[in-house]
Amino acid sequence: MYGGSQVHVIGGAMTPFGKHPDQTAERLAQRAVLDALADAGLRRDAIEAAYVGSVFQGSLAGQRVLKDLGMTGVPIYNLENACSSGGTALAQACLAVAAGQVETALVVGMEMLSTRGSGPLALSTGDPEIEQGLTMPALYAMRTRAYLDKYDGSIEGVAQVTVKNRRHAAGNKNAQFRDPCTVEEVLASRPVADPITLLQMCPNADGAAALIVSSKPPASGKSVKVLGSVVASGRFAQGHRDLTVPDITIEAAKKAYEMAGLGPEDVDLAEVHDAAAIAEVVYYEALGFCGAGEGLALLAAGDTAIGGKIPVNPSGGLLCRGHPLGATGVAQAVEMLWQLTGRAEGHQVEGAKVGLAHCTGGGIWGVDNGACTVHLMGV
Amino acid sequence: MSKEAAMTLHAEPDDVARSDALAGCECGHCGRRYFPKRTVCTECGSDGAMADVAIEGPGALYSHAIVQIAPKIFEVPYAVGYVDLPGDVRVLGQIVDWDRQPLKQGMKMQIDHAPIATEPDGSKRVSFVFRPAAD
Repeated sequence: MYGGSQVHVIGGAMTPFGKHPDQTAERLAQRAVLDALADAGLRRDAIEAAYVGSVFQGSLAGQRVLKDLGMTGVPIYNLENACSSGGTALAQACLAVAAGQVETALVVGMEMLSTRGSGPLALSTGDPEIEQGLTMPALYAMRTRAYLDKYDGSIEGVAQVTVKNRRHAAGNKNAQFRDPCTVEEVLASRPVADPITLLQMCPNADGAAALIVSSKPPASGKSVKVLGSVVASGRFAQGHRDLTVPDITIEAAKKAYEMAGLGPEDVDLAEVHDAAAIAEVVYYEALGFCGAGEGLALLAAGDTAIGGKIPVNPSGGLLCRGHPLGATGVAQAVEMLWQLTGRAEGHQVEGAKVGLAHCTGGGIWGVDNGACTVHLMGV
Repeated sequence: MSKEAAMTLHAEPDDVARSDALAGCECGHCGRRYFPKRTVCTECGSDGAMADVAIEGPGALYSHAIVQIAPKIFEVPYAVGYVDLPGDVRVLGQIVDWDRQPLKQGMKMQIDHAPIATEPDGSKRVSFVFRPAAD
């Protein structure tokens, strides 16, 4: 907790995630902002500051969204932290509310990727590994191979992540891919970076999400408390690194649990950064839902499916929702708000009291990931 | 040190005199080795205490991927892998001759140099590469 302060998420909304080339990022974000305000039952003048996460939307993305809603004049903070941009925006908004700088803040995550062409997103230039021909799917392929080498698992076992998340996404109207699929279909899909196939990677997407964060809970009871909120950056190392041990996620989760006074055993559901199928397995272990090397067994037992001990990505995760970079972290928190207030239509985890949202990403040489955010929320 | 070099954390890799080694550096304070070269030691924080050193193979393959979709300058399919070189220096590079034998974790890899990409102006990007060592 933030000392004696309380931070509540009192409203949230997201656009459907998918390919919306006829839209702009600003229009998507404006829809999410208006819907989030309506969800919170607030007028636009209740917003005292705005925190806007995006990666490729350029300078002053937040101002471009809010000026057309007549919501400028307040401090607007534009935040870029790769895949964790939205999570970083949420963390900064929570801090401002906890510190008493503002009573009520707006968080926006937005991204338009379909207009950037197809294929894997171009990574930053000038990075020594990118110059050698590393791609994000290749990095996840190496993670997959390292995991299977270390624990003697099978690629069929890893593909089950996609199968489970597709099953979850069938009930999520905001997800891009909602058709069920089989392990065979996952492995027969287009090769991207052996052993990674297309259906083991999250699709690019367009989308936006918005949240209202406040020190004042509404009378309606349709709100959740932020129990832990952490941003971490990856530590540089030139030497050996175990690709199955994501130190940045482990560190962020440990700090978030400490802040909340909770442990992984207290978590009822999680939205985690399954940018690739293997990533979800590795994060089960990093977030403490099982021991090292037990991720595939946890998945195979059905423990991470809706109805299991610790449902992970009941929304379908990045693999099915798609990953509009800056929007993802905010959308995960909107999912938490809906799940913990019993409003996750079609993919509800019954009786959930505590949820965890985890974003991590940004491939740069020498660190596990550029940035990671973990948020714990509860009712 | 040139003014330009002092402004940048990562120096460009020098032309290597030897095709079977990498032009790296070693911290004069703590002994940490790096590739590519840099001026600030991330371990002990020394600034400007680096000395040039040849980082030699063979190293051990940690993990690899066969890349089938890549930016246009690279010709698919190709292999990339993390190789742990002596002195705890991990380097990502392309692996040549990857299709002649199955690549396995722990496999010994030699350092070599070869073209790895075609630049937009048509010139070849020559780089260090790894090659499975003969038994």
